[in-house]
Amino acid sequence: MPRGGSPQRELQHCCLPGAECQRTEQEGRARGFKITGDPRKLGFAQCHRTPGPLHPSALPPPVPNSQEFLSKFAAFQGTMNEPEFPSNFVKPVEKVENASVPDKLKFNFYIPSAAINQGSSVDLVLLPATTGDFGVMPGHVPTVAELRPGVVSVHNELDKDVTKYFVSGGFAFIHADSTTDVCAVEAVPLSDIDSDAVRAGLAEYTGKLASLQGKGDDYELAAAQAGVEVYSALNSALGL
Amino acid sequence: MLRRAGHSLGSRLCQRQGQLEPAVQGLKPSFAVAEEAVEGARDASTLLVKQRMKSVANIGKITKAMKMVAASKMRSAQVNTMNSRGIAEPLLKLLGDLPDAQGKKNVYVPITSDKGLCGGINTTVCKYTRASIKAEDGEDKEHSIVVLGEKGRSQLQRDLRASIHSTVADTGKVRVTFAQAAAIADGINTTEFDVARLIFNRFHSAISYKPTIATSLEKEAEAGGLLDQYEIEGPDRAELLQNLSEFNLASTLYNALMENNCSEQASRMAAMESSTKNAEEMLGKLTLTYNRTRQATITTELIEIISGATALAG
Repeated sequence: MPRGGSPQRELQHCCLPGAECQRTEQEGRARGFKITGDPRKLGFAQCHRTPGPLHPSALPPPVPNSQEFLSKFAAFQGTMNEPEFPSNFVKPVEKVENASVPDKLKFNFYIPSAAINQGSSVDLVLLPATTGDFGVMPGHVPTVAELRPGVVSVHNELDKDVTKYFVSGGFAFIHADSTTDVCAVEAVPLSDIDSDAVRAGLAEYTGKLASLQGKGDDYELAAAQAGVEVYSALNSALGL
Repeated sequence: MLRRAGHSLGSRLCQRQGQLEPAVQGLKPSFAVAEEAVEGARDASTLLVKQRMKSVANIGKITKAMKMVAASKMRSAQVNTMNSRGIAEPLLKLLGDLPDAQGKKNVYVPITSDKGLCGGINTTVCKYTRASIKAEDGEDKEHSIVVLGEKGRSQLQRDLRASIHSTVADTGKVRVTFAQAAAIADGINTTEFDVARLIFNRFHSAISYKPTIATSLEKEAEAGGLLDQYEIEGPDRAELLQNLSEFNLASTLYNALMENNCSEQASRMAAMESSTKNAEEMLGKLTLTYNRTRQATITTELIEIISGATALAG
């Protein structure tokens, strides 16, 4: 699969209206998707699952399965209080049964040092997954995707208010209630990237990779390859 | 100073006496010598108290400065900690929190500070670590510890030296970064654990930090059926899940490091605050003692001078 190409060429999943869905109808039905609408006209229909009574449309709150641990701990507790668990501090999500597909996507975008988006309502998010770029709209199938270095486009309003970030990698989770969580290791707005530095970096790492071919240990080779991958992605993101 | 005061007092009195009674003037030299001898003996107790007062005042200044430094560090650490909670939460929601999880190889990661004078937080973490190890101990279960922070190492090596796999120090020396957390997570992965438990102090407020145990599993897929509802992209499901569990460990560890750092600053602030208060209290008591002693010596001196003068006069 070619990496570092422009997002349009790599579109494998179709969640943009008008594009062609790569999934065949059979595949879709086998996975339990309800095919709504004409696949030729509404390409994304096959990727969308209509929430039925069997599908919980909200993520169940994390239950700290801690009874056993606490009972074992009690024997050695002495004067200490019971230990806390991280799930004790997470607000439980309300379960909404049989909810229809919401208008907008609830989008959370986290990096270690900040929460770039928290609970924002957006129309569309384009994500660069390792398997190819795909877009997320309300009603998307619950998915776990690993991200590669690439551009995340956040469409607050479809094609009108777009913010683009370059991410270095991470994970994206799309939940059944159309909440999308993107956890990236690093994300910068495209406007903040210096094109000269990108060109220089790409040249440097391509040179390094070329000189290391055949020799050099695995670590150096992997580091050079990673460098080339990131810088080519940056290159294509900036349109250089 | 005391000597000079005594001298000037004595000489002034002598002079006044001298105006009225010329005979007294002859007494000055011998009187002065006697005065000095007596003063030397008197000075010893006040000098000791004086030295102690100086050192306590210095301690008070140092602890006050440390408190202010800790307060300012805590303020910025608090902002960073709140920001760091974001990245760990979706993973927690997706993969669940399973403290009950059982595995053959258990690794415990107590997160402590490198510097001392931060109250009881390190002792708390070590106590919870020891209790957890004992609680989870069983047949064919292996336990190892990866200690973060010098204070934890010095406490745990007393009785759990054999279980300590490795120690990581100087984590927060410059700044805690995700790269650091990822590197430490890599190190923890070398223990080839089944269940990892991170024990740290979660920051709630400037006076409240709760010991928390975060669990991370090697085989996330087997944990909780939530993942089955999700479609996993890509041909290599196992590799993605492996990456996911490593990312989970790194994010949880990063969050835990930030929380513990913030709790450390808050705890140090509180400890230094109480130290300063104690130092001030001690200084007050010593000042009273000093003044009492000083006033007593002056009174004694006056009595001696006056009785001596009256004896001569009478």
